[in-house]
Amino acid sequence: MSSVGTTQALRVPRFGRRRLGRRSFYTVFLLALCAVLLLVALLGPFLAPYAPDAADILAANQGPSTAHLIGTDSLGRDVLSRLLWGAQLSYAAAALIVVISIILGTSIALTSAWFGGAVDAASAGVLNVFIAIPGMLVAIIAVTILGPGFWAPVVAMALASAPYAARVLRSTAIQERHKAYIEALALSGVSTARINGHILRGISPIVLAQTTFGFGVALLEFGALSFVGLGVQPPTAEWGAMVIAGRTEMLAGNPQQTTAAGVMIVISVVAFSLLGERLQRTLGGRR
Amino acid sequence: MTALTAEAPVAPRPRTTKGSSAGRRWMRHAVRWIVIPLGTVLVTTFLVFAALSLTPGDPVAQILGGKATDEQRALLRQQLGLDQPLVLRYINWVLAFVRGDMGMSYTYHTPVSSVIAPRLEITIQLVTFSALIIFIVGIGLGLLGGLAIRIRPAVAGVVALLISVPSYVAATALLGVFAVSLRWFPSFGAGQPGVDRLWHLTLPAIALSVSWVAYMTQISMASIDDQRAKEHVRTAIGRGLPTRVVVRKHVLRNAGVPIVTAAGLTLAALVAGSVVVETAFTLDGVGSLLVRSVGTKDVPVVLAISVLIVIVYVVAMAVVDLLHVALDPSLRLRKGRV
Amino acid sequence: MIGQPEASSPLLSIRDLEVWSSTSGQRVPVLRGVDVDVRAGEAVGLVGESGSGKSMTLRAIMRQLPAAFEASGSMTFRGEEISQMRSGRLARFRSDELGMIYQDPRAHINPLWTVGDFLTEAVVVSGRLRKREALARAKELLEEVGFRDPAGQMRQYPGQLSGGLLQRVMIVAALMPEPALVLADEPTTALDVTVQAEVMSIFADVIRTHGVGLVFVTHDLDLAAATTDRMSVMYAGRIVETGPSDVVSTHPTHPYTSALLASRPSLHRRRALSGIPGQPASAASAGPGCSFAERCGFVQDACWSHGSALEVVDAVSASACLRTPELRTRLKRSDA
Repeated sequence: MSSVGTTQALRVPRFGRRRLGRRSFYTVFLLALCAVLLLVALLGPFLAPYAPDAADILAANQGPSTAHLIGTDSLGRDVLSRLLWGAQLSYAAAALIVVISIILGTSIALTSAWFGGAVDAASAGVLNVFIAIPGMLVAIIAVTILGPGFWAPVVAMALASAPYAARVLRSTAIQERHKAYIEALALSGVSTARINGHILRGISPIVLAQTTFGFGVALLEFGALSFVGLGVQPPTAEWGAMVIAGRTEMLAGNPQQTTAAGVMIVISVVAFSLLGERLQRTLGGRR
Repeated sequence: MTALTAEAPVAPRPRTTKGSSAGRRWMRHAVRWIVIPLGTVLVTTFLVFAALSLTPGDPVAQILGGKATDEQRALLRQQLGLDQPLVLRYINWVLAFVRGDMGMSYTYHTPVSSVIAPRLEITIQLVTFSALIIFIVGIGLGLLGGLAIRIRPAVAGVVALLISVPSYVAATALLGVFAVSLRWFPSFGAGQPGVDRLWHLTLPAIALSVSWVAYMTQISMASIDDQRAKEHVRTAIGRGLPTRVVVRKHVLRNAGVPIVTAAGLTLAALVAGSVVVETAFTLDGVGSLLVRSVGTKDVPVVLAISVLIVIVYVVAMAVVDLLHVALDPSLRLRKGRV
Repeated sequence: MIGQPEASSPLLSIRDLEVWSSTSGQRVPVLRGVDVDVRAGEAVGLVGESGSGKSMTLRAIMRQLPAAFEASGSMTFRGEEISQMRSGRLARFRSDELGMIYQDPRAHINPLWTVGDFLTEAVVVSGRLRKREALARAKELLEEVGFRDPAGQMRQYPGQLSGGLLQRVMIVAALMPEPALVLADEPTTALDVTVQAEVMSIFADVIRTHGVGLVFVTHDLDLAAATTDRMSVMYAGRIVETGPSDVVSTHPTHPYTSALLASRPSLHRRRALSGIPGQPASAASAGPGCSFAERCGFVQDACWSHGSALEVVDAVSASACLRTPELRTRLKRSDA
């Protein structure tokens, strides 16, 4: 008979997963989209009809055709193929950046949360200092020292994003650390490593959401670096580089390279950002 | 009046410092607004300085070229203080910097300050223009979306899309459509000072602001949404206060705090973003100078610009903090320290 | 100023108030036909468990029901129909004639403005008092509720005051416009137990001194009995019993009230705790008959179909139980 459920159902939201309404369809759609994008990035080279540096001057600056689905660039290279090859690079860069920064950030957050007190205050202070340096700037400085390319910017951006991730995760970790079940575990003498494993598991939804969200941001920023010429160098195919490389052609009336690369960037970033945001809301909200 | 037992509501626990403790209060303020930001700037710039000193290549060779004698080289090395330990070099550099001396450009062979100065004007104009667009349109849209429920879904949809458009993609798109196809705006350069400058900077400013407008709108909307649902708003309405008073006093003011934070972050990020936009539109500003200097390994210029960026960041954050306290005076009393 | 209850028309009169929520297209009842009368200067208690609808009644009176909630029925204040009040009149009603005390003061007072500003804003904006007069009155009232440095504390922010102090501020705020009617929604529930007693005693005093009509919502029957003149017991969105507070708390006329009273641990005798079997019903789940039928110790077949409207039992009491006449003696509180 218990009708407590009915009245309260008006006020308490049920867990998102059980409710198969419009909202979770949207999440599934986003998940699928991101999965497809990741797949394309992984398999890019196998799907590409041409090699990324297969130049054919006679076919330069052509619009979409049956031979070249999106067209060719100024050197006659197939834009679609370059896009597919570039996907691998762009996504790899973004993935590395975000994974490294999340690992670093989570470690800092967990340490900070576990020891608390002076350690926490110190790390908060240090983080505040590092956050004062924008990621782009760190990458630029790294490139100054090490020269342009792939690894220097990736590592630099990873290090630059870590403080931001650490700050966000730190507050979540602290909350989790003070939860009753963690205190109980600590009292019963379970090893520190084990307990931190529990805390990690507790904050993992937020970590996942931040990772997804950060992937989009990293993709964007790495592209920006290549765009200004400090990242990946020609003739390597990368989306940001393609946007700038195609600019002269665009101004001359052949926008296919620039547009295609730009659209791919936007779609990727939108998909992953929205997914990250959705994950944050459904998983994070459960706590 | 009832006889009271346990808790007598006497004067509050001494959390407000008055009278003789005013000195302590000023010290706390000084620490918060001056010491900490200054310290942050110093530490950060030292790190930048140290990192850049690792740049391979010999500055002496860069400046003098291949034809110099050993004597000249030694002299220059001494003059530049390159044989001194790192910390000493940093201190000398800081002292010079405060006096306006940022060293010599390896590439231009002229003082860095004279290399940066003319380009600074363009960048400042660009950033200001963008900031105006972002704050007016961004916060405006956010207020609209937050207070007018009917428009909300439309605004939210547009925002979700725009927020992921990076400035370089926006720049390229705007270039393609408005400069090339429609020919409404010029496609490169910053033009002559005055209205011409405004015309030249319109597309770059819009490109720079696109994703930030979306961000500000989102934050503003979320903040207002948040406040409207709060119980103290219900109290205010329940006491018969007219809607516009409630909105002004209880919704907007409370919503202001996160909005101000977002605004500060945005401003700071614009500075870094100008690098990209200046490259896209071939504007001769500080951003594109930075990129060029990286290419030529002109370390003094890179250093000087980096330091300037860091200073802008730290100042922006301090201003945001100040505004926080202005909006929410209770912060001053609750959070004594940073 | 001690108000004399007027023998004629009541200050507040609620008849057949129904409230339901229409979220997701379904109509879910929350209040099913509530009748309440409050005379000038009279304190009326609304007692019930969570989900009984007592807080919703207050929100309906103020016309601050949550979104997607609708109400029907009549609510008159000094003869004027509240639900027909236009926005200007409604605002004046809320600012000048009504005072509301909420349950959790910390959530209901804007933390960004000072206590003084909170107290004076409504009366100043509505034009009832000038700023200086409002400040003076606020100071007076604060002293009355026990503040020893009203001027200083009015300059403070809500975050600097404890829960008990803040609730007293809330009480003062409700009394600022010299309202005719005060609505109090479990004013002490969110406070520590020791603080509760203090605030309650101040509250009761102040209400009597100022002679306002009071609707006092609580889940604590004894508290209501001690503070109010008359009280109504609510269950599943309906009033099941109403009468003078001392009568209801010692000689209840409804099995629910009796069971509530009986379930409280006795101070005088050791005996096993007796709860009420089953779960509290909500207005949504109750069927056509008596909503308490499933858990009633005196249930009969007729109870399942008998609509549970309040029926007058004697000069002062009414009960929704159809067996009241025969059960009256058995329902008497055992340790009264």
